[in-house]
Order: sequence, then structure tokens, then C-alpha cells
Amino acid sequence: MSPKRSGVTEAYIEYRFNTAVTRIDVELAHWRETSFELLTSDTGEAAVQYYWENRWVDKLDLLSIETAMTTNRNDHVFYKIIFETPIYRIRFHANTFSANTNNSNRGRICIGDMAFYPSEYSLPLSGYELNYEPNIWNSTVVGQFLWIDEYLKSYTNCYSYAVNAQINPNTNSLYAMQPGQSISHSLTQDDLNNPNSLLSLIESDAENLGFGFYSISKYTVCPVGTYKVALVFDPGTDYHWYRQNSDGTWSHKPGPENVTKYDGAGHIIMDPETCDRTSNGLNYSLFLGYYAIMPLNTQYGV
Amino acid sequence: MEFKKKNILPFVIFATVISGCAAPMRSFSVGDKIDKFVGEYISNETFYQYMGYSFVTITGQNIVVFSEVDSNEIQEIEKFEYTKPSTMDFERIESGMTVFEAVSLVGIPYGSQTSGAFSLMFKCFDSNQDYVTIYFNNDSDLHLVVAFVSF
Repeated sequence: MSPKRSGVTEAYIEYRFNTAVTRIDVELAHWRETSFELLTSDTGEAAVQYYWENRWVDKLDLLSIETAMTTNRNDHVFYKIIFETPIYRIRFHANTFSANTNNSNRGRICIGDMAFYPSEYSLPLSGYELNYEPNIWNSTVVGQFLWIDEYLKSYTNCYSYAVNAQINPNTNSLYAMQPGQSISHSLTQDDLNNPNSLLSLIESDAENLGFGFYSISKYTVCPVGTYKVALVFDPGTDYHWYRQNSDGTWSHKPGPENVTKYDGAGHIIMDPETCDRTSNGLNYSLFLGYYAIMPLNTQYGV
Repeated sequence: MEFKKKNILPFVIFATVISGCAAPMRSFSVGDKIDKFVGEYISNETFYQYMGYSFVTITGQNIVVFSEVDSNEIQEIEKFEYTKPSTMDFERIESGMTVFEAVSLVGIPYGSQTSGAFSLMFKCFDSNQDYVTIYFNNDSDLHLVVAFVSF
């Protein structure tokens, strides 16, 4: 990998996994030691990074004294990189503070053999997942009177969040969505006792509002333009949604409360089918399935 | 609806000075500023807000206020005598009732548990099951109307 050529100051090799990994073993080395070749912390940056919460995070600084990467490409150093949370995307990244004057490769980093250690989570990304940006929902002020703020989150719910609709397309206003609203259906007790009734209402909404809603296996990559959501049920009481984030984790919005990526037990949600689905004293024990949807993207204030 | 107190100290000091004059509790009506209502009662332990509605029990009265989002005005306000509702009171709740009509029968809510459906929890004083949940739908004016009661 060469980050320094004429007109070039950056290079990276990215790996995306269908099954999230918890550990990577990799052999790494500089190409050679000569001063005009070697990338140092004075001349650039190089790191193994993982994608988390909408940005690349350094996991291993390849130019630090502690890492002590060898300058002999025929004598790789073996690194064991362990992630606390399963990761769907990693990359080797390097950049230089100045470009080369000719088209020769400089600042090269050699990547040798690698071993990946899969986690139990295989919910592959489509690349169309939305970033996890809770503050857009939790902290957006929709009214401000003297010293009191009124927040967008109070007028949206889990359904709004799943389809990314801050503005309810049925009412064209800031208001939480309900299944069947697009066909002027009012939610009944039977809807909350019968998952098929609820699914039918959501299918009607999907057709009328154009957000798709196709049943899909958790192991399948969603089609172009769509991402995974999961629908769960507390029979007789309520329904709830989760949506997958661009880093592979999942998030949800319990009613008018904050968007969060944590489950009822306080753990980061990697799979809504197996996470703790208790919330506010309810238990969304019935898992109805995974669905691919297209976001409505009706943003407040846009 | 959730409100955050910002830089409230100067107002508290001001309010303390004013309260020294033993002024009567302010009365609110349609057209008054909602933020003043909220500012007056937000620290009351019974105060609760949900989908444009504000609820509070004060001096033996249950007060319900409705204000649309983006509006700084009280659009509806009603006061009811504080009651300790029984199962019979909940049985009088009918589909299509307004939030105001529901509160007139069973008092103000204590919160909401549901993530998707619109609902409010009310305390039932003669029941082994402490709380009763009333589910709501919205009408065309985005006011909540009773869908059904879940004991």
C-alpha cells in the first residue's frame, strides 16, 4: 500500500465482512528503511482502523514507537488486533503530509498474511444503512420559548425512526407514525393482538408511502437503496422497531424517548433477534422478522 | 414533549422575590403562552407531557392543556376535580373520547410505556393491577382520541 506518489497523499485498503469479526491477526512491515521511502510520524500517519459510529477510528497506530513496525518487508511483524465489539468494516490507512515529486511509490506499508476471527453476528451491510446520529433525533429543538426547549423526539416514535421519517408523510407534520395511517386506519386492540393484522397495515403503508418493506433473511444483503429493520411485538400491548446502522450495530427509539443503540440490558445491539428487548416495563418477546426498507428521509427543517 | 431548563437560576431568584409577595397561583386560559404554563408547573412531580398534551395536578385540580407543536399558545385547557378513579370509572371510558373527556373520568396519566402505539398509563385505585393503559389514535386535527382501554 503506497500513500505517496505524484499528486497522491493517501492510500487505504478496506475490508467489509458479512460476518462481524472480533479479532484480526496480520503481518505488517514498512517496505524499506531508506529515509526517502520510510513513512514516520513526522512525515505522515498510518493506522489500522475500524468503522464505528459513522467514522474511522484508529485501532493500531502503525508509526508509533510502541508498535515498532519493522523496516524490513521480508521480516514482517505479527500483530494481534482484538475488538471489544464485533466489527463489520476495517481498513489499513496511510497518508503523507506531502506528495512525491515523481510517480514512484513511497511510504509503502506491506500487508502480509491475515487471519480473521468471526463473531456470532452475521447481519451483512448493504452500504445503504444510515449513520447512527442520535442527536439529530434527541437534541433537535422544534420550539424554543424563553428558557424552555421542545424536542423533535417527543413527536416521533420507533416507526418514524425505522423508516427515517421525522415529518410524518401521512399528516405532513411533525407527528409520530402509526401502522395503517396511510389508509386512515385507526389502531385497534385486535391489531395489537394479531401480528398479521399489524403486518398487513404496514404493508399498506409501505405501498402508499413507497418505503418497500420486504421480508428478508438476516444473513442476506439488502438490495440497493435499502437497509434492514426488525419488527418485534409485545402481544396485546405494543409493537417496536429496530434499524441497522452503517457500522453494523442496531438502534431504536422507544416511543418519545431518546434514540439509542443499547438494549434493555444496556448492551450495544448487534442483533435485535437476540438482544434484550425489554423496554419501559414491556417485553417485546415476539420477533416478527427482518425487512428491507427504503428510508423516507423526511427530515424536520429541510 | 420534553423541556429542558436552561439558565434557570436568574428566573428562580426572580420568582423567589415575587413569591415573597404571596401572589395567588396564576390562572391560565386559551391563548396564554404554553411556555409560561410549563415553566410554572414543570417541577411539579405530577407534571407530564405527551404528544402536545400537558398534564398536572395542582391544588386538588387535574389540569390538561393542549398546544400544537410549533405553537406557543395554549389551544385548549380544562380543569377537573382531582379524583381517585376506580375500575368502574375506567369502564366508562369509550372509544372516540377526547383526552379531556378521559381525564375528567380517570384523572391525569402517570406516563407511557409503549414504544409504537399511542398510550397513557393511569392509576386505578381499587384494582390489584395498579395501572390501566388507555390506547389512543389521532384524529385529523392531530388530537388524541381514545381507541380502547387495556386493564
